[in-house]
Amino acid sequence: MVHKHELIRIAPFVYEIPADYRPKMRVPARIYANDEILEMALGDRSVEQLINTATLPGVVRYALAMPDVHQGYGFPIGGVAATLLPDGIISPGGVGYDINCGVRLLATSIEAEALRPHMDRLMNTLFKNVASGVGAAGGLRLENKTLRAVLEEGAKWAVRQGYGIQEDLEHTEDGGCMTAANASALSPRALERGRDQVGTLGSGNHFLEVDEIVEVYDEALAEALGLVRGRACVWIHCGSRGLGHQVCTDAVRLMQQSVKKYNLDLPDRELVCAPFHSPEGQQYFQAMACAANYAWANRQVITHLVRRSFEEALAGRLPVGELRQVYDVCHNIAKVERHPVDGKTVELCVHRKGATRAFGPGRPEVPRAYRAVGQPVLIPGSMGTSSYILVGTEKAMQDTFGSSCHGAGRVWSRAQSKRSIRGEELKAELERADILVRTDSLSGLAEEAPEAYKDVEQVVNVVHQAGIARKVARTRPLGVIKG
Amino acid sequence: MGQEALPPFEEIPHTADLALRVRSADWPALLLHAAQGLFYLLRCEARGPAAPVSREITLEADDPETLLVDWLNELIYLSETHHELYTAFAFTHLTWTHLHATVQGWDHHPPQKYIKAATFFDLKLLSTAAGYEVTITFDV
Repeated sequence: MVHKHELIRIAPFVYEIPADYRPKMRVPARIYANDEILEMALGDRSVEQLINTATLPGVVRYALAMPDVHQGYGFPIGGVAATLLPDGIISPGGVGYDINCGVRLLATSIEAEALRPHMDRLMNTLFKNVASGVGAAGGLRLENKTLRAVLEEGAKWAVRQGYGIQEDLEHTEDGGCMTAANASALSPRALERGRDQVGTLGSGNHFLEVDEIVEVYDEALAEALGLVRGRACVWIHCGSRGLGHQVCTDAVRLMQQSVKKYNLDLPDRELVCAPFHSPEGQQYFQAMACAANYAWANRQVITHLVRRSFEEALAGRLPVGELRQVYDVCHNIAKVERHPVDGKTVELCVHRKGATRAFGPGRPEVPRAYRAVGQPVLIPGSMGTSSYILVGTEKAMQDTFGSSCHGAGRVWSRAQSKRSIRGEELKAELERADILVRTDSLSGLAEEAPEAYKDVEQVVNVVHQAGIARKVARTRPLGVIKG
Repeated sequence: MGQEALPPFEEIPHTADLALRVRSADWPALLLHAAQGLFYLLRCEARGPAAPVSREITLEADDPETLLVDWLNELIYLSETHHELYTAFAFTHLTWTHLHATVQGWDHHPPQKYIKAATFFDLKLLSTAAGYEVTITFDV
C-alpha cells in the first residue's frame, strides 16, 4: 500500500514514486493528479499496479498514470509505459482485452435546439440500426476472405465498401489501419468470434451519444477542428469486440511460456510479455494490429449506420447536411513511436492502456488539417455528464510519450453501483435532465451511473493545467444509447 | 468463524472489473465452485425454449493456476458463442495440470453480463486450513 507522504510532488499536478521505492523497479512511477484524484488513486490497487509496470524489462523514463487512473489487471487503467526497441518487450497486459477500444467524434451542422424536437425519433432510429448489448451481432457475416481484408485493412476496407469517405480515414489515428497486421497471426477461435460483430457497439461502458457543443474554450482551436457552439455532434465508443478479447486471451496464454523462455522476472502474471522482436512478440503485435484494424472497421461501419440513421429519422424534417468525422482515437494499444529519451530520439514500443495518444503540433502522424494545432484528443465523460475535446501539446511530446487521459475513470465497483443506483430511476433522472436513454439493460445502465465515475471536469482540468493536452470544447448529451 | 462457514464463492469489490473469491476443500471442488461463480456473474437467462446441451472440454496446462484460467476462459467462450448456460460439471479426468470434463446445461440462455476473460492478475492458489482459496479477476 502506497501512502501519500511517500510520493514526491515534482511539478504542479505531477507526483513521483522514485525507482528505489521497491526492489526491481527500473524507472520511477509518475501520477498526474490533483489532491482529490490522488486520494482516489491511492484508494485502490492502481498505484501498486503502476509500480509493477515500472519493473518491465526495457521500460524507459517512467511508468505513467493519467488522472483517470483506476485499478485494472496487470497495468492500471490510465497507464502508459514505453520500452526501448529493439530489445524492449511488448505486453498484451499493457494493452488489455478490448484492443483499440476507442472513441470517434462526428460533427454536424445541425443546431441542437432545432434537433431537440426530433430527438425521440432520432434515438429510436439509431437504437434500431446500431446493434448494441451483450454478444450483439451486426448485419454483416464475414466470409474468410472478407474477414482477412477487414483485419489487414481496417477502416480502409470499410470505406472501400462504401461505409465512409476518404476524409474519415485521414481523420482517424493511423488512418484507421495498422500496417503490421497479419491475419495469419490469429487463432481460428479469434477469427470465428469476429465473423458477425462488425458494426456493433457491444456492452459495458460502450455507448453512442448525440451531444450538443455547449462550451468553447478556444475559438481558434475549435474553428480548426470544425466545432461550433450550439451544434449537435455524435460520440461513438466501442472496440474490437470478441475478436480482440480472444487475441489478448491467446497472447497472455502463449506468453506464460515466454517468461520462462526469456528468463523474465515479473511481479504479476498478467504482465506477461516477450521481447518485441521475438517470434512471440511479433505474433502478438501482428494479431493486435489486426484487432485494432477490426475496431476501426467497426467504428467506421457504425459511422455509416449513424449517418444513415440521421437521414432516415430527419428526412423531411431537418436538413441533415454532412456528419463530418472530427477524429478517431484508440484507448488500448501498443505502438512503435519515436520519442526523446536522455536527449536522443529513439524508437519505443509505447503501451497505452486506457490512455489516449495526444501528439502535439507538427508531428507527421497528425492529419494535415490539424497539424498546426495538434492531434484532437477525445475524452468522453460518464453517462449524462460532459465530454471534452482537447488537442495534444508539445509538452505531452516531451513529458508523456505524447499521451493523455481517456475518460473520467471509475471510482465505484460495478457491484456498488448496482447496490446504490436503480437503473429505472437513473433513466428517469436522465430524462428529467432532457437526456434520452435507450438501452436493453437497466442493470448495465446502473453500472455506468455518473456517480460511479470521477468528475470528468477535474480529470480534464488536470491534463489541461499540467499542459499535456489543451481544452478546446465541451459537449453535453441530448441522447445516449448504452451498450 | 471457521472456513466451512464461508461461501464457496463470493464477489469481491473491484473498481473497474469483477472479482471472485473461491474456496473449496479440494482441487476438483475449486474448479467446480469457480465455474459456478462464473455463471453467477454471467447471469445467463432464457431467451426461448431451451433444450439440454452437453459439451466436452479437454485442457492441458503447465500449472494449476493456468489450468484454472483456461477452464474459465473455455466456459466463457462456449457460453458466449453458443448462448448456453452450464449447470453441471463432471470431471472424468483431472490432475493439477490436465482436465477432461463434461459440462451440461441449456441452450438459448445467453449471458446478460459480458465478461471478456478470466485474468492472471494476482492469481495465487492458496492452501488454507480448510483446503484452497483463490481470487480471480475478470475483465468486463
